[in-house]
Amino acid sequence: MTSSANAFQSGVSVRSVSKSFGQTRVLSDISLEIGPREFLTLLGPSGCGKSTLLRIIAGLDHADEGSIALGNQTVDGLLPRERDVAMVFQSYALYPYMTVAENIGLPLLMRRTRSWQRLPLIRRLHPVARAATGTIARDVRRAAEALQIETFLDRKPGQLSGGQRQRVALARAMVRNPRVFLMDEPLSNLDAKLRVAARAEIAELHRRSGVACIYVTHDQVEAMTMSDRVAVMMGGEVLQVAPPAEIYDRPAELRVAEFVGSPKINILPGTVRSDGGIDVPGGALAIQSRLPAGTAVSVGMRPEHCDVAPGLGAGGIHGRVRHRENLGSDLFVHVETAGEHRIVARSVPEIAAAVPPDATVTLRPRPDRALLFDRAGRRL
Amino acid sequence: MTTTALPLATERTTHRSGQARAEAIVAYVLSAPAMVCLLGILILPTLATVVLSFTDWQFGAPTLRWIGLDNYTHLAADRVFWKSLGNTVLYVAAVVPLSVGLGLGVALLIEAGTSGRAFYRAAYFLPVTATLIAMATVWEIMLHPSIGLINVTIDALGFPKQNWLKNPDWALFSLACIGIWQALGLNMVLLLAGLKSIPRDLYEAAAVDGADGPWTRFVTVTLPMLGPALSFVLIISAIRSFQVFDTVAVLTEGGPNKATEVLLYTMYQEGFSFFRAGYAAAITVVFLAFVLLLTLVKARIAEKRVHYS
Ligand SMILES: Nc1ncnc2c1ncn2[C@@H]1O[C@H](COP(=O)(O)OP(=O)(O)O)[C@@H](O)[C@H]1O
Ligand SMILES: [Mg+2]
Repeated sequence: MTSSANAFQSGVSVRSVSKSFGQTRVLSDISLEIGPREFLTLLGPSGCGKSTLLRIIAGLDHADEGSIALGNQTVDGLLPRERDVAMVFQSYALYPYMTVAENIGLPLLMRRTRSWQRLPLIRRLHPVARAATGTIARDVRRAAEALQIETFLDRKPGQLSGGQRQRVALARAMVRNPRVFLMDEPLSNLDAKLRVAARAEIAELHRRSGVACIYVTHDQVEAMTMSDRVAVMMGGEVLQVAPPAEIYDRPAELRVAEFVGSPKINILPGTVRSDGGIDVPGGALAIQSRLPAGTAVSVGMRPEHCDVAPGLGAGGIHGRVRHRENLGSDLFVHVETAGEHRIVARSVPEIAAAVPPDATVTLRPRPDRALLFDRAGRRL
Repeated sequence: MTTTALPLATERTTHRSGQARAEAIVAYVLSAPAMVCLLGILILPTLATVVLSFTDWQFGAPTLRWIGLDNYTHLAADRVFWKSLGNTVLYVAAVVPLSVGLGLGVALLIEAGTSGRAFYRAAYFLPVTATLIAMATVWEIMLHPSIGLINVTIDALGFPKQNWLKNPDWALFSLACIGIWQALGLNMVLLLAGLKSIPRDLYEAAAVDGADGPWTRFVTVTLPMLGPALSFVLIISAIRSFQVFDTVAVLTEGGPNKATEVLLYTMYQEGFSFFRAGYAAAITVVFLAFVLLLTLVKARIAEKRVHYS
């Protein structure tokens, strides 16, 4: 679990990687740089090519074009074993016939002994093999203790709960000192409560290991809470690579803005006025854009950047309340504006009584937080 | 409240127990045909055989006499019986490992290959679907001492020809080869299904963990994952080859000089050629004991592998 010297130097470089399955282009010209100790998340909807990219980095699949480097070494022709990566699979891929200890120890056994030394009798008798067995047992115990599964070492995976299996899979990856951890949706098979705990734990284990980690998920909360940087993928492309806060506050594209954030960002069509303000259905935005008058834009407003006030106030956007969701801490007000556009605004539960369904309200987006996107969806 | 509820409740329970009894009756009625069949074609004949083995009944004779263990003491002293039992065990010992081993080899090759899978699968499965009697005739021609394909080939290669089915040294060996040829297809198909059910993830995890050579991958993933299928195939092959009869009956009739005398053939001869039904029944009981033993082993293995999934 301690970091070796080479762990500090090595990161991962993905250089112009493309991949097709038959006629379907799954990855188009992906480039990424992952720092030596960085936690990078590949975030994107199901089917966007995240797993494929991870498998190409691991050497389980091969890119049609482009190359992968780990540290300073190009690894394109190398087998997964030679790349020295550790992977956690979505299904955990534990060996059902081995005990937990044997599962965790296998990567060490394969690396520290030769094939003939693993033969049943020789394994017991040959001094080198016996010594290896001893150190492996020690390292397995240490990894198991880090994940609090040392009491299950003699069980088979079939006798464990989902959460415990997931820990075994993590321990099997972390028992070594790989150049990079690759994790493919390791939490997607856990229930919501376990997932929250596991999120913090994986981030913590990563920090202690000091090894780069590429983490695949379709869950934006995981991406936002665990990562140093997030790479948002869609349709086989990387749309933006940035720290979580930047992805949220300054999305490069409309698609990124729409994928990240819950409830979803509000998008309204708008037109720039001659004074720099923007007309939207149901009202106007009092901002100072420097765009030429008449430019058509998409205006993005996060729910928490929209104030709601009862009645028809001056300025702002007017609309009618359609639905309210009181979460106790927050009140989400769903408002319908002219042209049947829906806007969700976050407010405090105290105003619930003042904005009953069908009431007329005025929305006042915070001008400094409004996001403008051009026709093609790029942020202006 | 309670006064009204109580009678109501008892009424409901009596109603329910009546319903349960009706359900039980329906269950018995529905399972009765299966029970009758089981009793009629499996249990009663087996019991009858066991009972017969303690009598001196001659096939077709109007009377029979209880002779206790006489048939069995006879068996213990019968050279033909011991020869027959020995031949059967030898046959099983040759056919089981080779047909399972080769079946596994072929399954691995088919699974690893990229083209022609369906063709190879069908080709190897053909002997399973073909009638063995018909196939035995084909083998008889193949093994014919002068015009048979095998001898012609051997002769062309410069080796001495053999009279495969008439030479006591080779006859059982020839029959075992036919047995292997016949069993291989089914074993291959069963093992192929087992191979297909191994998740690809496991091979990938093994590759990342460093178990990526063909041999290492085979012993770390394939073989243990195939364990349940493999033990099933082993037991099934053992039971089936223990039952060897048709090739013996068609090709060698137990000869030459009892070299291919096997349990079921001895039993058949005692019962239907010499009409010593009581004696044949005793041989059958010995045969059934072996099959039962194998079945128990199979059940034990199946139990042991439960928490695999
Ligand atoms: N071996 C394969 N053969 C054909 N298509 C595949 C294969 N693997 C993945 N795909 C396709 O590639 C796309 C991306 O898959 P994947 O990388 O698994 O997506 P994600 O992990 O983001 O959900 C999907 O449309 C999937 O159907
Ligand atoms: Mg995936």
